[in-house]
Amino acid sequence: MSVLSTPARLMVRPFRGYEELAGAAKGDGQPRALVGGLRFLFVLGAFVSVTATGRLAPTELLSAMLSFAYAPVVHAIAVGLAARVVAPQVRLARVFALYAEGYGPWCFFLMLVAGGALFAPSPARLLGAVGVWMLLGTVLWSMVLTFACFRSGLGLSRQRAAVATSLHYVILTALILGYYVAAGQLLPILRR
Amino acid sequence: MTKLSPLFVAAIALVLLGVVGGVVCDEPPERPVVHRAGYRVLEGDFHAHTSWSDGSLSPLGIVRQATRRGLDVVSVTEHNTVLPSRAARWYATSTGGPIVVTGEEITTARFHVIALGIEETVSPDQPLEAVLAAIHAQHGIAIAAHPVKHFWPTLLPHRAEFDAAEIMHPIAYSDRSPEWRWADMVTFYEQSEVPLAAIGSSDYHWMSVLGLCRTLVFVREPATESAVLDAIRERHTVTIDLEGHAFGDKALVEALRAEPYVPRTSDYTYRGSSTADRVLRTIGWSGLVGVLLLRARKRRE
Repeated sequence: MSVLSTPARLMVRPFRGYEELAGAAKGDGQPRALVGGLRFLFVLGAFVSVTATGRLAPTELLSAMLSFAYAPVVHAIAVGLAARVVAPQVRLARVFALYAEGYGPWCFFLMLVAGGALFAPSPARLLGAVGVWMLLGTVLWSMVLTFACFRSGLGLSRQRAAVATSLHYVILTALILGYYVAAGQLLPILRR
Repeated sequence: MTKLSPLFVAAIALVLLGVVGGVVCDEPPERPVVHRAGYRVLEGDFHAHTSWSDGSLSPLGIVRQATRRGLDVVSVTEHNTVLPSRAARWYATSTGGPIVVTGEEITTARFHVIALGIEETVSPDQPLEAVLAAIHAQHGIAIAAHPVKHFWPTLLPHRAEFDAAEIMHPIAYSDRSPEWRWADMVTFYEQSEVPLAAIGSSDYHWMSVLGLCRTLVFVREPATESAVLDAIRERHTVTIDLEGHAFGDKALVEALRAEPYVPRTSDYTYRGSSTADRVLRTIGWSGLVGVLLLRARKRRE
């Protein structure tokens, strides 16, 4: 376990990992929101580059990091609002820092799909066969980590952590849908 | 001072090697000037989405990827907005990229229409006949996007008002459902009361290949955005299905039969072909996995 990164350790042991992270002294193991967000964007950029061009083309990697820079920001808003409602006494900087270390499942998912795009004989067929299940597993795994972040990382009761997790996903979904409504892309496909 | 772990440093080095491969092997194919039947033949893809909605590449990324894929002309056709395609055109013009024809996919529950050559967004909040009139009022081209049975109740009464219809589309590789069958797209085109321009498009979002399905556009020189639009308006297009059967203007199909034209690389799994390319991208991906999984800093004793 000692060679594993913080996101990897959190993926393997969400509750124990967040407990250790919360208790870690300054320095080694200290969670950092910016690094976590940038790491996620880097993996996302690499995913876009690999799945589009078949390579780590730096132009597409950086371009995708910029294009999707809103993603960790939207996550931060959602987790920040959820924490503010459920545990107003907790410092937001601490919430962001702990939450940003929990991108492991998404990064793992993106790298698996990128690997499929590079090495599978028929990437589209592979994704069609297992993509939905992988996505579902990632969402569930990610939910567990978010719950662990509130429960073990921020020390909330089980009930309050569950409420905060639910609220986080409701806000996140509302923000994403809100964008598509504002961009005029959602309502036209819903109206019969 | 904290030291980085040797394993993490090795992973970073692998990523850097992969990035070097991503630069060195990123050579676009040649785009030689080819003529048939007195026209210049351009390879085009008129249906691509961006990260502004449900795509993965930015509008500028679509232009770069079109160059990689050997496309002479490309359209960014974002759902219900023309803005990304104008950004793509600006970028292509500034960088000497392929021809960009502005576009939008007017997307509703009842129909999807590709509008090409427009400058202002066409609203999806109106009936199909109004959408088609709004496209033509801007001297644009209206293409029936993936006209599968699902959309027929709305599309069929107005088929003669279209300029073109998509025939080749990724659906040809695997039908999604009985309502989304490639054969019905062919029927929509072949049974049209008026001749429609035959279009092949990749409907690019992500995890697919831009230019997977292509349109051969027969333009008069000089090859410009307006020459491409004129060619589609005059039905001077051909698209070729998976079995090599050509759809489009009969005289042009005959010209291609007399002197065949092989479209540039359209392999479904675009992953380069050279050994160096294969090795370096494998190294880069392995490095990424390492960076993700390995601890960055040495554990303090």
